[in-house]
Amino acid sequence: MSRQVALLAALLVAAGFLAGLTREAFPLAEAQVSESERMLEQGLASLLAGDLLDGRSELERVSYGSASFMTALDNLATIDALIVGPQAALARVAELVERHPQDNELRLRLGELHYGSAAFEEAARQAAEVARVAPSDSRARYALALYQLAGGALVEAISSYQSALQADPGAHQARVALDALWRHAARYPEQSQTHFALAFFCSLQGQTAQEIVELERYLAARPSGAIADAARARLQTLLESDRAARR
Amino acid sequence: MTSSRARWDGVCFFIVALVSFWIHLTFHRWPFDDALIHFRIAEHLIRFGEPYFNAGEAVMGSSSPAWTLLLAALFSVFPATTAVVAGLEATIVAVGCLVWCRWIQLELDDAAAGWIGWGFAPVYLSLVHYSGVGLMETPLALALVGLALLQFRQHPVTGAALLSMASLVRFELAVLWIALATWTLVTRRAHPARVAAGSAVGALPFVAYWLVYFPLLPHTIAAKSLVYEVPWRETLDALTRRALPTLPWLASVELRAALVAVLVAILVGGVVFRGRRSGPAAAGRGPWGLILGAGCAVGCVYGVSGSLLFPWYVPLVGVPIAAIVYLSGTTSESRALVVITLVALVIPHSIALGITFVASFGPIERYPYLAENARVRRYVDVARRLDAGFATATLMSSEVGGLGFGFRGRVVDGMGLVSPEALPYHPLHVPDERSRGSLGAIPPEFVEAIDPEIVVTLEAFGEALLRSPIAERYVDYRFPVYLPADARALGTSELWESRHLHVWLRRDRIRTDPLGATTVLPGIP
Repeated sequence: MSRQVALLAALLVAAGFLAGLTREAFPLAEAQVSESERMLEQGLASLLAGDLLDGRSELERVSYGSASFMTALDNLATIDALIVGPQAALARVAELVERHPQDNELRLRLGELHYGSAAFEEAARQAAEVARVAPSDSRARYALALYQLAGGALVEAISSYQSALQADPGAHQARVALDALWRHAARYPEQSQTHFALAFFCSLQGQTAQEIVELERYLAARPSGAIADAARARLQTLLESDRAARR
Repeated sequence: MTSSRARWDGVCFFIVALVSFWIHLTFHRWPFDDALIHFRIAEHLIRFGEPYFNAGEAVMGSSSPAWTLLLAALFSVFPATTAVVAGLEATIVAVGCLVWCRWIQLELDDAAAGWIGWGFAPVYLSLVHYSGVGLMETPLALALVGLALLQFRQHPVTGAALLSMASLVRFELAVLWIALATWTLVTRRAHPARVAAGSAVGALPFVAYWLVYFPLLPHTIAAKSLVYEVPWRETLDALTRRALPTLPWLASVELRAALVAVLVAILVGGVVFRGRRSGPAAAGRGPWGLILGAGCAVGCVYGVSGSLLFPWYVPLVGVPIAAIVYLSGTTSESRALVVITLVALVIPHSIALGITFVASFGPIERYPYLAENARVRRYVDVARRLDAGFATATLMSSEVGGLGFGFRGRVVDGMGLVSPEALPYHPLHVPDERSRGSLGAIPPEFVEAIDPEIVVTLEAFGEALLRSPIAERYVDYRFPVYLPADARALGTSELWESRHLHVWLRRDRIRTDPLGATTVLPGIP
């Protein structure tokens, strides 16, 4: 018995050595890293080391068009805002849009930055431009809807949300749009119309309890007009069916 | 045992060990995040004499005392690296495979038993290797169960000791321990006092360690049951996805249901066509029904408790069930049933294992857990960079394995796994604070209460946090989710709908002049 165990242990050790030596001799080749990816990594490392200037110059060397570019740009916007102010970030992206007017991704970023500085109309203009040239891009439509909502155009916003959902019925973009709405609600609590849009999404996802909460929040601001009337009617229906279900 | 059979046993074991070492030495660089929680605790046990995730904070961050102690013993001799633990895991997986195959051989005990026993090896390796490569404790638990099953045949007291030990590696295995101990007593194979003494001897060192340092209920269990809200259907779906061979064409629910039906049919067929099971050797056999029942019971507990089913839980259900299905099929007198067992169980698992094996030669993206575990490499990378500049800061995240491994300072767990103070802020509401109940997200109010200098989170775990007003207090650096080489291999830069890993540094601790020179204020040397 002990001889067998010793033999098995010897076989185990031999297998371990053989596998280890072979792996050592033929290491797993890691994929090649591009210059832009290297610059992005270096730039981010410099930022964590507290060296913003080095970080910025390394991030600026990430090539336009590379897969790393947008991440580099996001971080450059953070550094610009930190060193100079939010307008510096906006100016950097606006200049890029001027140089590459066909780049929808950049235009959407510009829209985001305008939205971030509460320039909702300008943000909506950028998103609308992308939605015009790329009608199938649901991100642009969702962004447009959010900016319209932020600007107080609730009817247009709901219409944009509906066309976005038609363009892309998939769950992912809808989830991103819903997340943006939650963020907007937290940032601008005084804008009660956000809760109507949230109720609209909850209704689509069948989340009745949350829909009731959002409709109540919307109506708490005593809005008027056709949408407000529709919201009241919908809330009434939901509450009644909720009561019936409880009974 | 004849010398020819012993020779073949040796050859088969050598092949199993070679495969085990090869895949472990290849994929250990992509461990599960939770595996590195054990690493940190084991390191702290050696450095500070206390098995706590954060020095001085008496929280049971690991629900596996035996595994933590084993790692601590290993790290007191070797450096705490994934490669070292991979060597240990490869050994444990190979030995576990050997003892389970040997148990099957002994259950059959006839001329064909040698080959039939080793036929289970691909099934065992396929089910267990993900946990081993991910550097989790499950292979150790299953190896102890295999040894216990061998011992139960003639030395039930030793078997009880090994099973009690296995239960302190994975608590779920207490079901099997209780079942087999009861069977031993009912069938009068051993005196109750001796079984109790054996169990106590196996458990005592680990229970003593546990009670010296921790409260009775492991904190991780309380945290997971509070934070995760997973419908039983999702758990069942995950269980069938992972307990069946991990193959792309088994993604559809219908095909998985069909395969489960075939496996049930094999069990039923095994009863109908008893074959060699009804021979004289049957008297010495183990209680197959109890082992099968224990596997099913653990699966049911996962489903009923709404657990988030992590990949390393699955072999605890899959291996006992697969072993009994395999025994039922291969011992039947119906040749058709033997063939069905090969086609429905052995061949699919062999292919699943083969996929990992092929991946180890270059196309690593075929390894099923690469995408999930590659994020851990990014965590370790970011943590090491932060450690260089902010070693005494407090870092908060909701995934603390990779980050805690690379960052030596205090790590607060927003999910509450190693930080009980987070639990009053949980569970976060679905859908406005997190998109699903399986996400262990960071509560914004908890960040406000702790006010950490650093917050690290994927977008999926920081939905509420990233849009909360607290975000204004931090400078937000965005990292790609993966290291460049991993992103290239995977062909994607997204994980769980997250495009970035956000690293937040608190603004009031960073002063920046107009030329971009940054001064880190006192508190963060």
